[in-house]
Amino acid sequence: MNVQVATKRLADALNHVERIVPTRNATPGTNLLRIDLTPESLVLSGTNLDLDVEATLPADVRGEGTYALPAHVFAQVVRAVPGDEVTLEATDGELSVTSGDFATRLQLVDPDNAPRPTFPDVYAGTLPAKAFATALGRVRYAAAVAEYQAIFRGVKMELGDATVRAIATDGFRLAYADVPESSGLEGEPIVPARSVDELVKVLGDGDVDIAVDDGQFAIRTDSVRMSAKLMEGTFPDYKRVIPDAFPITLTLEASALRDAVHRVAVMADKTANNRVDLFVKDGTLQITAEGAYGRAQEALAVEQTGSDPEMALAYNAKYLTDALAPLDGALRLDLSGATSPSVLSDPSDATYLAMVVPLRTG
Amino acid sequence: MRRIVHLDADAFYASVEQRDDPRLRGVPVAVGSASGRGVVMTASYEARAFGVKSAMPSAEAARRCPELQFVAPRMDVYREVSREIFAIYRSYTAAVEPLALDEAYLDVSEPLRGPPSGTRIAERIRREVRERTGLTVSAGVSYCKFVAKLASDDAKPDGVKTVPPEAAAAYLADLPVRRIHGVGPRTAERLAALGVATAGDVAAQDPALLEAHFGKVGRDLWRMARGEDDRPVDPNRVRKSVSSETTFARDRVGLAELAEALPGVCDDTAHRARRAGVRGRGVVVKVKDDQHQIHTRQVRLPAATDDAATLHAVAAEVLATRVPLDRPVRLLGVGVTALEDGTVHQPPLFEVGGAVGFEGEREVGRAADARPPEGSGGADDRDAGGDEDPPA
Repeated sequence: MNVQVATKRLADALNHVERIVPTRNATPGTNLLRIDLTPESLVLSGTNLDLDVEATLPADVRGEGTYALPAHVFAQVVRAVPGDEVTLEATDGELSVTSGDFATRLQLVDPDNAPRPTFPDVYAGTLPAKAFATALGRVRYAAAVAEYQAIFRGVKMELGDATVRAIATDGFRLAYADVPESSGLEGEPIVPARSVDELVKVLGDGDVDIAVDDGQFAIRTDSVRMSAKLMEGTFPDYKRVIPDAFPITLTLEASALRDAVHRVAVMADKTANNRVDLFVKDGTLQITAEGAYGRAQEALAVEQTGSDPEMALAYNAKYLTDALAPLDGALRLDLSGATSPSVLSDPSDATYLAMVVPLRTG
Repeated sequence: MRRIVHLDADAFYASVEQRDDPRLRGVPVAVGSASGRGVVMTASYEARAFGVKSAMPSAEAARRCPELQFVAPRMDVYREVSREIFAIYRSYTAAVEPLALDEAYLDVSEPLRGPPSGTRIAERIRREVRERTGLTVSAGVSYCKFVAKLASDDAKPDGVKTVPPEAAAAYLADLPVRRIHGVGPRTAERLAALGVATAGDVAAQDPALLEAHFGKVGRDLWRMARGEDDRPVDPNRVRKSVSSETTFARDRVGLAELAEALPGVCDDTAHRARRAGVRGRGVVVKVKDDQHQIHTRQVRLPAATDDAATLHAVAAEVLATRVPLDRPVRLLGVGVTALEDGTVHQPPLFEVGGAVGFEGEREVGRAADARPPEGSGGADDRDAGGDEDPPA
């Protein structure tokens, strides 16, 4: 075989695949990159067993076949070559990479040793890529990180008639974000949050094709296919825990609250729930924190409505700033009580909602 | 000679419930969850008459006592009552060492007020607690912590027992070894093989022999059995961890066998944490293999917990992925560390699944997995860790 390809194109395509390939070869073969040749293109693929990725790039190809080699070494070489063009040639179990005056020969591996990525044949759904990426990006923070947190390590997608909703929770706070369009598909796949991070990175402009098939959630763009293994388990009924009565509702600039909490929380005790206290009365929201190094406070003017004259609450400061990060412009902060969830949303945009459970202090 | 008082409320949670709800008075009461996988946290004396004990599965308790009234725990209330009781203790001496919400050592050698007799101070305190809170505490009075604690056990319910220094040897002579802190069924069995059944028997042994058999613990045992305990009452003692561990009657091989024992250990740890009024952000899993090699692994949680289901989910994950289990296992322990005062905490959003995202019902003080059949681990030793330091 002999392949001529633009260095930048090869490096970009390789980047999509290499990023997910494990650096340690814990499961034999998962450190490998597969290269499939078609008459006009080079197809690169790899897997981390939770996520399969395939990137296709146009290239001047002579010959055909499938090759495999360690992904990270190959990627390092490609990123380092001096020329704008790269020539790849496979001979005697080695892949020669030449560019400008540089040449190297990499040991090839039997491609049967590389797990074969699988992708659905049919992509029956579509979504605007940018809006989909935005929705996923807005909820990602709320997903759990720790191994034992099971289903909370996933992002649930509700593929509905009129909207696609992404939901994430770690059991203490929750966020959802909507794409106000039908994907043409139905279902409620739960995709590992780590795989969601990779999906978001390849979602650009235009539309993205999607498929839910055989335990996988897959997307297809012009040049990349990704297929994420779904998580099994039951996601909690989040709608049931959204309060329906709010004795106090506050309206203010989201960035004003975010910045104030951020400043005050410098004094919060990081080892004791990172506590900040909020006290609202007469249209003033007082934010305070106290820790081993001192105390801080800030007052914000807010629009206050509701049946109760005042309320005192405490939160983990990080939960508040995380929930506020996706919000620009106005914030509506619905307070259901000192011991039940608070709801954060944009009064003029129903596509994002966050919920935070206050700290219990008594 | 010091005057040490050990005070322990009688059936604390259950007594608070009976105090606050007249319908519960005089009837068998268990604080805990009634449902299939719940456990009894505290049983009233009426319930104990039927053989109902704390940490017993609720189903078993209900079988022993069909009239048993289950009451959901109200930790906030118990914590408040605990504050009242400790305020009374601290009015008599600054040397108050809390062991749990309802349990403390007091050094009344130089009391701030009250009579100069340990026994009479204990009586005064008991009366004051009864008048102010409507609850009874029992007291053990002696010259050291070890004997004072044994004496308060004997005094229960609603009593005082004093063991003066000159009576200690006679008192300990007939004390079964199982009542010495840290001696579980397995250690008792090994002592029995040496012909040792009572603390008096232990005291009569050569300490070198005990040390040869049980290591450093053997020598501690010998000192305690002789009534030698000079541990001070430390009001500033900061509890760093709460844990529980089980030494298996038969070594367990492989994850499946070990996982069977996990719910019981986690229940116990959660129970101890609640009793102490603390939650922890760290979970430690400890395994000792048949070569006495100890492996401990620790993880951090996003929020502090005292919940058995959370502990179980975390410990199961740690056990399955991070602990080497290629050798048979003698001992399994689960602890919570990085403790926080239980008053401020991050509650979960969902009742179901708690903070760990697993399926299944969340129970008060109960892990989600099935407990091994009653008696299957019958001869296993379950011991507290972190509750009390052994005598130096």
